[in-house]
Amino acid sequence: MPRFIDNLFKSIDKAAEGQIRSAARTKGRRSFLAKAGVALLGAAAATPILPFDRRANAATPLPEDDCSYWKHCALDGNLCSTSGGSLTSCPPGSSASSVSWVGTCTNPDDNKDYLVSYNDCCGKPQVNSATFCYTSKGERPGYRMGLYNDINWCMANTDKGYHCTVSVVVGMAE
Amino acid sequence: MIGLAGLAFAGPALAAEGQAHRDYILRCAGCHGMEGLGSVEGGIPTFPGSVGKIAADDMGRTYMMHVPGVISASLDDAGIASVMNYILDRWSPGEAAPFTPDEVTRRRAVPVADVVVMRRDVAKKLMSEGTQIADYPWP
Repeated sequence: MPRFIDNLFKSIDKAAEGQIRSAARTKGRRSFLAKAGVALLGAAAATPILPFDRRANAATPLPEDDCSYWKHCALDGNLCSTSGGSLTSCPPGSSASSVSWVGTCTNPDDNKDYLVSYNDCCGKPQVNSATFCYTSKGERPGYRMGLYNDINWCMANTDKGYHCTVSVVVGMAE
Repeated sequence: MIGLAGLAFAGPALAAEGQAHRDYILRCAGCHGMEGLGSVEGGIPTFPGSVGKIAADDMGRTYMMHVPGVISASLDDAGIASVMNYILDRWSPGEAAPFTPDEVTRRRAVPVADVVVMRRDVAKKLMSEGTQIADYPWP
């Protein structure tokens, strides 16, 4: 009986040794690395990182990119959100005007009136593809100086060149 | 006084702040700024440390009723008085007497040919009394 077990082990050893030597003769070590690498990369590319497709809404414009957005009701100028900035921040490289036009706009969500400051961003050329809006609600002709908005509000800045306009809510009107 | 003394501006969240505060934002803050700092380069004098000193002087009070922001604000005399008192309460509490609508009416009726010349006169008079008001670099 012990002889039988010895023989069995010997034959397993021999078979294993034969397989390993044969593999070592025919397969390069690099071929394993190459195949393992392909398998890992493929798994990473094929598995979604997030459970939704983030590209789905990337092309949808933001509501503030449209002149009819409620905060733009008294605006006269280019939207900063379409000039490389956002609804409330100047694009990089431009500076906010120290004086501004203030209008009153109704928020359709709560039907309340808000005071909105339209600060110009100054010191950079205008962006050709920017959306230009002329809503200017409440504006009056130039002889009503305090109610006249056709003005470059960059006039009080060091850089007087007009770039675009932001719409910032600064208070409630009621 | 209109009971707004010491009320710091804390953004759009404060809704019940009174008509004078809203009028200030809508009709004044575009140039004078939410903090009343104005713009030296834009020729808009700052309020803190200055407006109360002007309002404490008789000629200064008449001058205030003829600055561009007041004459073009489209407010009636009572509205002007309210906003003036809001500004005095906020940036120089206790430094000058409040305006009444009657005083606004009376001072607005005073003919002022050149408000910049008048400002120079006010600044000179106050300087001779040892009082410095906000810089105004425009000619």
